[in-house]
Amino acid sequence: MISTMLQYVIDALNLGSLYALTALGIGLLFGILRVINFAHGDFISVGAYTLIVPSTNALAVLYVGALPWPLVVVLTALSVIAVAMLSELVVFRPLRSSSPATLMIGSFALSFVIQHLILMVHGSRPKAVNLWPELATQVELLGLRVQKLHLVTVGTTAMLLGILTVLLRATRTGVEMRAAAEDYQMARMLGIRANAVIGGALALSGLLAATASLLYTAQSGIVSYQMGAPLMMFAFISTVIGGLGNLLGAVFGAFVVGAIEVALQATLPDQLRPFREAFVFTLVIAILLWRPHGIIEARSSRERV
Amino acid sequence: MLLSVENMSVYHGQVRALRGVSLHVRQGETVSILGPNGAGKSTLLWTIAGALQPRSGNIVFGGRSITHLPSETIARLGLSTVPERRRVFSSLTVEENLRLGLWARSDRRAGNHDLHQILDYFPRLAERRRSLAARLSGGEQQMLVIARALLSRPRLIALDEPSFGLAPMVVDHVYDILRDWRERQNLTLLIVEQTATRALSFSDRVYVLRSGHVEQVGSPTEVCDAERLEEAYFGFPSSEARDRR
Amino acid sequence: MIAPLITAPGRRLEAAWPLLSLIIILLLVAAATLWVNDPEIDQTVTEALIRLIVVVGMYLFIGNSGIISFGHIGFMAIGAYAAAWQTCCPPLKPMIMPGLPDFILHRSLPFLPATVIAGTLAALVAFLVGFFIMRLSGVGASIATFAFLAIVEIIYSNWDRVTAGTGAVVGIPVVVTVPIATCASIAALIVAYGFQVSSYGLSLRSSRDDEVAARAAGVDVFRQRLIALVLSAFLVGYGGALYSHFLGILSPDIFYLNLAFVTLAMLVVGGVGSLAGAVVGVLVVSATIEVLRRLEVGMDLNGMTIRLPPGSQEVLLGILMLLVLIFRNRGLTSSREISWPRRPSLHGSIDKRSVEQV
Repeated sequence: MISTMLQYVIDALNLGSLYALTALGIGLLFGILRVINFAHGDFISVGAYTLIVPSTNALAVLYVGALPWPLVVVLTALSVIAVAMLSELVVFRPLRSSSPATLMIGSFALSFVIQHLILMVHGSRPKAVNLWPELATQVELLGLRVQKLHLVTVGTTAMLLGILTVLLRATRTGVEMRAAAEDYQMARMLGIRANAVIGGALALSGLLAATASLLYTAQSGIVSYQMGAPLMMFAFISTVIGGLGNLLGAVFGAFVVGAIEVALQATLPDQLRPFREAFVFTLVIAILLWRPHGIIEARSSRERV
Repeated sequence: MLLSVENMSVYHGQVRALRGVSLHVRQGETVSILGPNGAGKSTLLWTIAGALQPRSGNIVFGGRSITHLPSETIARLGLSTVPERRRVFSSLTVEENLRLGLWARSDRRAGNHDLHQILDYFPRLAERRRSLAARLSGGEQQMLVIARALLSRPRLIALDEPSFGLAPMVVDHVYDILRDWRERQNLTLLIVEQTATRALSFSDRVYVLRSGHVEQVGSPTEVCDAERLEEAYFGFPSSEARDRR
Repeated sequence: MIAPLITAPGRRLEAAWPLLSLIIILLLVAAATLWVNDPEIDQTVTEALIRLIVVVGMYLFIGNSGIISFGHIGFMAIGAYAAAWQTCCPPLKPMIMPGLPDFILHRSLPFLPATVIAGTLAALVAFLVGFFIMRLSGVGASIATFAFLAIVEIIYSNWDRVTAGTGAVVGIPVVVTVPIATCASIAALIVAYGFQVSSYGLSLRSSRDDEVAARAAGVDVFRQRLIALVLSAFLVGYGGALYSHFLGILSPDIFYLNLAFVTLAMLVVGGVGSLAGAVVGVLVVSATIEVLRRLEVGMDLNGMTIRLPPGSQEVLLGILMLLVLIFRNRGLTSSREISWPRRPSLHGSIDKRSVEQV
């Protein structure tokens, strides 16, 4: 009994970590650019597809994915960051002064374009990718058999979260970013270079997306041109639960979503299991109704009178 | 001439907010901009700060044209703007807010000395150094934004309604501080105010704006003499005029 | 320039011109198609007209309320399947969709009532969903509509006993032709125009432009949005019903991201704020898609064969949408209706651009 519970906890932590990485990426961009980036899931897909040789063949041949892992991480991160920067130049910057609705549609269009560019190069069929098979072995932990990969996922996420927190709280760049996230215009009037802050946010967002893509691909073993969509939806839900604009809340929300998903998987009767995602999405709507600013209201989002 | 605005017109979409406005501020001067609501005072300040683009006209600061420069560049050139309603970063601490002012400097000299000096001068801010700026009172927040602006050692500070929403005693305090630092740092000040009295006693010259153009410009006494005229246009007498009656 | 006739009938014509002009355009398109009499073109035009109904339905809600909805394709799915349940394949139905309730399992309804019932079902769902979602503000509501789309897709993909899941429903009678589609789309235009000139439409648009002011003026924003959502869902559901009787087969993945994007693109390209925008958008984008589709298949031009790689259709459509968003934000029609030509007057529209032009 306890061991099953522990197993669930580890599963929830694992899922929550993946969602947290994605949610942070979305949250960072929302905080600074005020953009709801529908294309973030596709940044993840881009990261995954850099691992394989571009071709429409059904069988994927490892390309970058076959290199030693530090190189894999660096190259994947670079390619995702490049796509993020390009998106800024081509979509977000031209639309900077538009309404939130226009920005949303713009990121939706960007998502569509990226998805189909991937489709053009790689074809529409999902492909099997064998990334870091050595991590698929199991280790003993607290009397359980846990996949190394899951440990790596949770550990990497914790490390990245730690680094991000230090960056945002204790460095000059972090303070400037937080200022820009709260009041972009005032930050500029204090001499903060807008483009540098945005570039930094994009780079971080890209790094987070790349990490998520590597871990997700290693776990699922498949890449497909729409693979980022479910991750993005769940990450969105996490940010909504945590309150849009609240980074800590996004992480919290992510683990809540992971826990709910594992709980539903365990408790729902067989016939209802495929619908568990629908339950989670309904939850989003319910939460939006109950607390439009999220369960954890960002301190700064409360109106100053 | 430290700041020159030449024949500037600014539009909000199709609506014209400023028409052919010219303004000059000499080094060391304190200039006020007065006028009723909707006259375009804030628009003028925002355009100078780089947040709005004029449709025609130039702005020259320190011999350099800043008309189409972005806000952050203008700030780094030494033109610091304190917009209305005290825009502190409420999710940052008082100290973090202040440091942002320091970092706005283009010269890299160690700012810690200046930071201590400011904290000595503003003991209330020193007390609340590690609090979130959201927790400060209105008056304290106004001190914070002024301190923040001062830390960037600007050549010119532009303030938009520094007295807004503050009790009269607090406003007195704010102006005392401005007077003090004006001397210390040889500041040039450009102040937009709704309430004429304070600004008049504080400034070297006054511009009166109405419906997007400069109605009057002159020394405070010159403008004061035409106060009856102001009343008729603005519809409300200044408190001094009320007292005089 | 035709001098305006200041007579009562002339005034009425002028007032109705935004609608009449669009109806005339559709009739011309239909007439041209029938005259050319090419089965492939018939297919393309019919599909475009059906999409027109859907996009007009979307416009009724999005254009008047200002809330971007990603979820209307969910209503289209509901309508499509509801119609199929009623008219489909008597011998097959109990086998592929055994979970359907008895009164529909062994019965078939004729096409017209089936489509109306389908639209009504979509409207009912919209009422239930909207009752909750329409309390949210702009961005929150949009995210909720996205969630709605995903929920519909998941339910319809997994509820095998009722929808045949990811396997296709086949054997739906294909009865929708160019004349039928044209009549239906004209009807949709009339409904949408009627709404936007009614007090409901005006009230809703006031909330689009300034929600606070509208509430202060006594507009029940929630109620108006809900009404618009329900009406728009009826139209979209009706379009879905027609769609299933055009394709002849159905599967849930038709009604997901791709179609949601294409229909939204049509509305944005044409102009989100006007009925003319919806029509122009559908016609322009459909034509573009058709050209691109032929280029993907391979076309001969002056002796050279041009073939675009598969997937380029969507990429180019996405780029087109981005270009419109960046350079011509209000769409090809600038979100204005087609007005009766008259001497230019001195009114201009006051643009509400934010002061922060960063």
